Amino acid sequence: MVTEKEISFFAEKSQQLIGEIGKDMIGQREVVEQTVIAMIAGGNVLLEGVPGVGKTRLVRSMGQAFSLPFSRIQFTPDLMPADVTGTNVIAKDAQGQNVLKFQKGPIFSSIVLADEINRATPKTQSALLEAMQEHRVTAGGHTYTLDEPFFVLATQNPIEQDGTYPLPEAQMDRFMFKLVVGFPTAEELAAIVNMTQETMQEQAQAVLTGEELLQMRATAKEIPVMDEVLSYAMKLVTATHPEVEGALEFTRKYIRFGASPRAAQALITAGKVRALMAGRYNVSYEDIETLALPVLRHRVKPGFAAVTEKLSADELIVRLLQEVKGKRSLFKK
Amino acid sequence: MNIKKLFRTFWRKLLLESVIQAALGGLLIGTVAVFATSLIYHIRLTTTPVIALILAGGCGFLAAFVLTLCLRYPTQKRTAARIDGLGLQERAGTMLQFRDDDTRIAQLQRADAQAHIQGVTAKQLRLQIRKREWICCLVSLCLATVMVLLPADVFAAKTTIDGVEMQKEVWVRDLIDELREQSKKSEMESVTKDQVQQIIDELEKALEEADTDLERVALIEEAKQKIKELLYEKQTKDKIGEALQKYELTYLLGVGICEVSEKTITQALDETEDLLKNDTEQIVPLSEAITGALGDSTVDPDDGLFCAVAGLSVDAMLLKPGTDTYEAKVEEACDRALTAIMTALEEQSKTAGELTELEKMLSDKKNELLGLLEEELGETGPEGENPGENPEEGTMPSEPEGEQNPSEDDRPDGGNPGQVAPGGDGSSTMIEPFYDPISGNVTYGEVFATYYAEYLEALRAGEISEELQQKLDRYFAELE
Repeated sequence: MVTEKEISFFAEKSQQLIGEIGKDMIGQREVVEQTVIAMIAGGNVLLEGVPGVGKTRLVRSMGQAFSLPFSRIQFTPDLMPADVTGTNVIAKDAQGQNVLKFQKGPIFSSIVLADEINRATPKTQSALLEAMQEHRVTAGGHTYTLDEPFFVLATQNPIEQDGTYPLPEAQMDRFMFKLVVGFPTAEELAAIVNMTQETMQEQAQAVLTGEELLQMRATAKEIPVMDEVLSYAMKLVTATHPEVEGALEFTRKYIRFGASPRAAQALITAGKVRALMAGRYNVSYEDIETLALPVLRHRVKPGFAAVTEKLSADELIVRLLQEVKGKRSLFKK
Repeated sequence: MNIKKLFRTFWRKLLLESVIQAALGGLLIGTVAVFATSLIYHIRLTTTPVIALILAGGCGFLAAFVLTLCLRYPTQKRTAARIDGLGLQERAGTMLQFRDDDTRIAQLQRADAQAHIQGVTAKQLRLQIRKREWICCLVSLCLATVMVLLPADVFAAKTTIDGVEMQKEVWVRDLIDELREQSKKSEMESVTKDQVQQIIDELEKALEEADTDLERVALIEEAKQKIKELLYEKQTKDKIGEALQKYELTYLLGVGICEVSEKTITQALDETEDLLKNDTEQIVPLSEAITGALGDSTVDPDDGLFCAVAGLSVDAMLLKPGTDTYEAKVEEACDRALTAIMTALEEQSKTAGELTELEKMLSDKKNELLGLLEEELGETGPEGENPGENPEEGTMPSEPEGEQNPSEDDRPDGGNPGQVAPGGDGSSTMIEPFYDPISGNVTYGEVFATYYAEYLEALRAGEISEELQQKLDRYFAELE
């Protein structure tokens, strides 16, 4: 049972967290907030942006803000799955005998930075799949459970297409959010330059331990969701599917395939965290609408018509929001 | 926490909104019902009764009002949603749904929601009544008003014949309705009423099939002739009276019947009574005289007057001279005969009056129709009731007697003034100009109907050969 103490702890810590990370990130307030939301909700985040906008810095800063083991994996085309998960190596035991010993890979950490994930081969990318979803690693015939909390914060560069391997849909679906890190404004750029003239090191201090994070996660789960808000979130996810009965004309025309049930889970879970961070004890329509883009943009595949008309996934989702919002009504229940 | 109390002020405002919406809905449906009711009556070409409008509008309004109010009634859930619309971010709705939840988080949520609800007022709630609802009501009201104010015959079919526009169905129905009403009101005996009804039915059927106004005029003339014949058939007093006057014993009685004089009839029967009392030998001659007169009259034995007079003969033959009651029986017979004859004469008089009324009505309608035709052609109205029957008043060529087969060469060229049409007896007659408003002469159009009616009558009687019929049809068609 949640207590006032836990709730005030949540509010205090979430603000501290944002504040600490904000020391290292100029601007990008929304990206920072949504990353924090995802982490508290227990989801993985994919950060996309042009080189140099601070994707890796954000993740590193987060690693410092949490008193949690942090590891970085730089994905390259020659990276092997064993480089991610670990492998058996020959080692001498106490008696001096040669034995096979499993050497854990960098994935055995709490916060894993998968840098430029789209540069690795699909085989290496899939090594992350089991870990991201089930928090387990299978290597050498053995299954190793990862310690909680466990997050994968991946980055990718949308510009370089040569030598890259777009993430498969199955892996994309395992990211709770896909956040687009935009180019800073001129003022922000000036501030960044000034800041980094002094030091390039992240300044964030640890404010949260793993246990505290898990406690915050448990607190957020208690937040009630009204039936109508829940229904709204479900309608939004269903509206992305062109094959369902009663699908919107817009969906049939522009969307090839829609979001999975994980999207619905993500909307509600993240919605609860956002509501509590905003000082509310209930999820609102606004929470769902704000989180719709990060949750759905990597799960909705534009169709041929959308591609030819140069409609991005974000634009499709915004249009869907308008359609579903118009049908939102409490009178139906 | 008392949610009802918390929502009360908001609920009241939303209830007002619901009532306004219900009233608008009721007004819309009510006016649609009025429009539909009025339209139905207009299609039937009758005036819409006010009570029907009130009932339709009232029932429509009431039903729609109640239904709309039920649908839009501000339930707690709806009230919570509207309150949330004031920026409360679903606090009120969540509070309502989890009002029975005892968990700490639910309690905190309720407290938070209450604090926020108390931070807003009902004044901030705007009534959600869409403009289009007002516009729809207004439009519906205007349409209903227009439909109610339209004349009853606005949808009647209009036919244009000979350049004259007439409301065919209304005119025909009015005529038939008037005739039927007149017949119903009359005090004629049932047999005569049935005969009149048959004439009216035949006229109605023929008028519905008629294509031209002149044809209608002819049909009305024909019906009028039938009524006249019926009148003549029913007026048997003259026939019986004249027949009785041929016999000495019944002479005075015959005079009294012809004159419809109760005094004379009474006198005649008194004399007959004295005669029979004083001379029993006169019974048979008297009876034979009556029988002979009735036979000569060729009147239908079922006729009332016939029966009344015949009754006297029968009673006379049944008298038994020499009995104690003979004189009393004679008196009785004469009294009975007086009553029966007077009753029969009264009935004939009534029937004559009623049939004359009908004849006049038909004549007026015919003239009305002719008047309309003449108005269109720019001529004056008809002079007199039947100008065609007063040839001395105009210079129209009179119908040569006995001539029924004009040759093709003799057929007048209709419409060309001044043209001479050779008559059957070698004389020439001038075709009257169609437009002659100055001299006051009757127009061809007025007598055409009479000629056409005569032609139809002769055709029915089989007096016209097929070859001649074709010529006459062509003739009348061209004249028309």
